[in-house]
Amino acid sequence: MRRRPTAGARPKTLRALIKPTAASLEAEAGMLMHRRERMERELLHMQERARELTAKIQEITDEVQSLREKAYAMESEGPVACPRSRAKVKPGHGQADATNSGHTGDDAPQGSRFKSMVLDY
Amino acid sequence: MSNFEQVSTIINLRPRSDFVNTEFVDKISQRALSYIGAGYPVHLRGPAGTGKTTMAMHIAAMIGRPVMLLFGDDEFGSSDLVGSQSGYSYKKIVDNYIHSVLRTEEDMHQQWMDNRLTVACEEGFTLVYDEFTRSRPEANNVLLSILEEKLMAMPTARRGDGYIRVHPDFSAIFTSNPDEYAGVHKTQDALLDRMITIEVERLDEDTEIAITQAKSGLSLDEAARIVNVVRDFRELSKASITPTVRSCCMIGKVVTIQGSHVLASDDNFRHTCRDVLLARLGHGRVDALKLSKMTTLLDDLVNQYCASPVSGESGGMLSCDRVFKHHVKDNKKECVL
Repeated sequence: MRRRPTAGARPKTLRALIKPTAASLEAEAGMLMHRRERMERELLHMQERARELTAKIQEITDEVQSLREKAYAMESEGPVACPRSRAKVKPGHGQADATNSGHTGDDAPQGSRFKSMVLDY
Repeated sequence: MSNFEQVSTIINLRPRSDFVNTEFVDKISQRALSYIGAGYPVHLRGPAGTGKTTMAMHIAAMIGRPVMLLFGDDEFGSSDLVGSQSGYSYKKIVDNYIHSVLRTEEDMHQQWMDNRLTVACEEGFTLVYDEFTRSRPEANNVLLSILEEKLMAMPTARRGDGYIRVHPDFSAIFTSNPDEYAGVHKTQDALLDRMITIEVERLDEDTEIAITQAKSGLSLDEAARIVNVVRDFRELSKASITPTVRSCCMIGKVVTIQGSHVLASDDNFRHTCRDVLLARLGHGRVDALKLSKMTTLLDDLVNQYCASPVSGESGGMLSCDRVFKHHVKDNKKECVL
């Protein structure tokens, strides 16, 4: 006597076995495709962002270099008072403008190290 | 030497238009120049009011090099001549060029500041040290090696060489009052031995008249009257503060400003003479008897020399040989060099 299949039992033909697998695979493929497109879009966005950041880094590097050059140039002119540092640099008394009643001449024979003053006797 | 470049002031001297260069002044200047040319510093010594400082400046101007002026002071130490430490220099470098590497460097050191004697020795300027005996003798010890060995020993605090060779063009002119003056220290023999001393006596009459005339703008006769009054008062009063040519210039300038006349009958002139000359009788208040006698003496001298008005516009020149000539032309006084 042939046994009748119970309700809900899965058919055991090959087609019956493959068909749902194919469907699920197709669905999964569709999802993956969708995901891939999304990731490709994200990739494009990240690449764009990376290019922007690279340009910004280069700009900052150039600015640092110019500031460093300015600092070296200022250092060669003389010390400046740093308000946050404990040691204050006081200008020497020869550096201030000469406060005298004689007028200052234009010719300082020794270059910028000397200021000339004409004195009438 | 520190990185900090100090800026010093050098002086270029030039004579005023009323500078009087009589034969008396010229002789001393020429002698001094010959001593300096021989490589010796010159020391002008004499009483107050004899024109030592002016003569020293005139000699320095004739040398033609930039000048450093120093004035003797009892508070001076050798650091006031040589130099001292002044202030600090602080440098901090923060290097973060490579973001993963941080380098910090700090440096702080004291600044050295050269003073006028050091600058003059290094650069070959002319040093005019006025009233150098008013500085304490130990402050001037540094001059001994400068004037003899031509070498200046520097403190170790000054970065660089411990010795400075004195520039071959360096020359020095010193002025001082005699030792018996108040506030004057006795000079060490070693320093006096290294210089040639010219004793500057009181100016002769012609020079005093020329200076008074030049400074006040008065006529020759008027200036001569004032000088005669002051010279006789100097001799006869034996005042403790001897009246000098400065007193003559004071009286002359005041007369010019006031518009007074050099006449015994002019009260302004008489009072000006009393105010200028009687104050020199003593350092404090003079007793009434002496003051009265000196006032009478002064009045007599004014009456003697300034009795009659000045006779017209004379326009004469002094008999001495001088650069400055005073002409009177068309009722206008014209100063011509």
